[in-house]
Amino acid sequence: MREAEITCTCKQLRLNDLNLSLMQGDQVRLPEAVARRSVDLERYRQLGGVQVRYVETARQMRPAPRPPKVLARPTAGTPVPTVPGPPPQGAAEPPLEEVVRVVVQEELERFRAQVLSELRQMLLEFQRAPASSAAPAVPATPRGTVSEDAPVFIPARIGGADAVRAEIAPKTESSTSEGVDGAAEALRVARRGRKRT
Amino acid sequence: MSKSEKPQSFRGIGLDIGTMNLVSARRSADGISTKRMRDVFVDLPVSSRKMLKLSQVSFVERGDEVLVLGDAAMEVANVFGTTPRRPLSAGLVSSNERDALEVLKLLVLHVLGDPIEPDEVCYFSVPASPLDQPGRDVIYHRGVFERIVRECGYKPFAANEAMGIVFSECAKEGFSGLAFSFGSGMTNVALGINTLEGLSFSVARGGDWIDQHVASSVGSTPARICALKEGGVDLNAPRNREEEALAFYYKALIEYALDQVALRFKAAEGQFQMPKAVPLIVSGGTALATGFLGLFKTVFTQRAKRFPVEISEIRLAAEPLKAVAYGMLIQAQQEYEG
Repeated sequence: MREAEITCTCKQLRLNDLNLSLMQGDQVRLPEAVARRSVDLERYRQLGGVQVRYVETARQMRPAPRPPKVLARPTAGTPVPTVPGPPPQGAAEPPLEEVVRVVVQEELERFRAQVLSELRQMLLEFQRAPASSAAPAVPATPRGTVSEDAPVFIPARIGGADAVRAEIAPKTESSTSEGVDGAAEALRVARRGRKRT
Repeated sequence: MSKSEKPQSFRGIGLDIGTMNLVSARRSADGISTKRMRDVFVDLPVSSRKMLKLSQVSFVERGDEVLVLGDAAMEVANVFGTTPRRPLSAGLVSSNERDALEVLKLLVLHVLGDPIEPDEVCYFSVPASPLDQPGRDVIYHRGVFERIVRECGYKPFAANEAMGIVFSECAKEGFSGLAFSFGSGMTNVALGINTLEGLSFSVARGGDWIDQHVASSVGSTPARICALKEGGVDLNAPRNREEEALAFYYKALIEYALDQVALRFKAAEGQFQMPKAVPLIVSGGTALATGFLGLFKTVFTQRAKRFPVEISEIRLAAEPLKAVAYGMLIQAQQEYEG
């Protein structure tokens, strides 16, 4: 059976249509159908005053464990109780193992239902929440950097047409041109010589 | 002198695009005029505008922020306690820096200036693909800068960075030489044979690699180590623990570069005829440290017997920070030759 687990996250609230008054931290369980019908509950959930989680309760009730036997102090003349021996070979499966198997199976099913329920809840809340409150799926890249999967391309025009042209002065130096002139002339001669051959 | 009056021999411009610096070189009436800008920027809120104006720091307004570019960005970053951002990483356009393209365009725009004529030729440097990072190539990097340079009004030509050093430094050897460009983000190597590029590659280690490893070894920060390095350190006479660590890592960088050269040449064995003895040129900002050339020669001597190329001499470029830009300029001027 599915139940709604309601946890009060605000200081205190009153759900009139459920006749419930809750303080911060209080937790109650209601049948799912009842919870879903409550307008006040939905309103507080949207405001963040309550958290609602739908859980799947155990389908099968296990038998209550038997209370342990209290051994009486032996008195004179009282027959001393003996410890029963191991079951004979080929006997039926011990009941403890069967109980453990059933319990583990129920816990797994309950955990699975709980996880699915929480995922559904989160999805619903995400869909209803305003865009600004949604947490980014990935951390924002630091300002001025480009994320790894951003396409790299050379834009048609680098820098906008209205880019400001500031008065930035590079360091200017002048030097004699003998070395450069000599090299230029030598290169000219070398390339002419290669062309002729 | 107006644009139209400038002699035609002034046409052509070279651009060295480095992880730490952008350098342009152009022929002018006074000789060769170079412009340099730090390849860094800082973004600040608009409220910082007033303070920047009072400090006479140039900035660019963009929406709800201001960008400080170039050398001023380093100083501003110190004042505001922020980290300068770099549009290039390990020699190539940074893949995770959103503002890289826009900032690079602004930097290139100011370093190049206006072209003398529409579609003036601009040769810009491009590194070779790093051997030790097989997943990285230079295709996107080259494409970005071709577009940026074109949008600045120039006709772009990409050229290998280390070959630029061969063109600017090996004229008397007939443009045959083995050039090492020890940059900030990577080290480029090229073998030029009679003006042709015989072999070129790069390794993703440079000045930044030194800064990071020295910092982690001595418990400092890369920024502090970089400042210490640029403030002047003698690799032959370290004065404290940090400088000693610097010397160790400089040596490690040189060893790594030389070993990679040997491996690369071994892989290319038989593909072309090795030239006779050629000069080995060392260049780049990382090579500016005092004692670098001596350290390089010491390390090379230990490997000389099994080095695949016969070396006639080892020397430092005349101007290590500008050699690549000069080489680009020389090639750009050739485009106007008949």
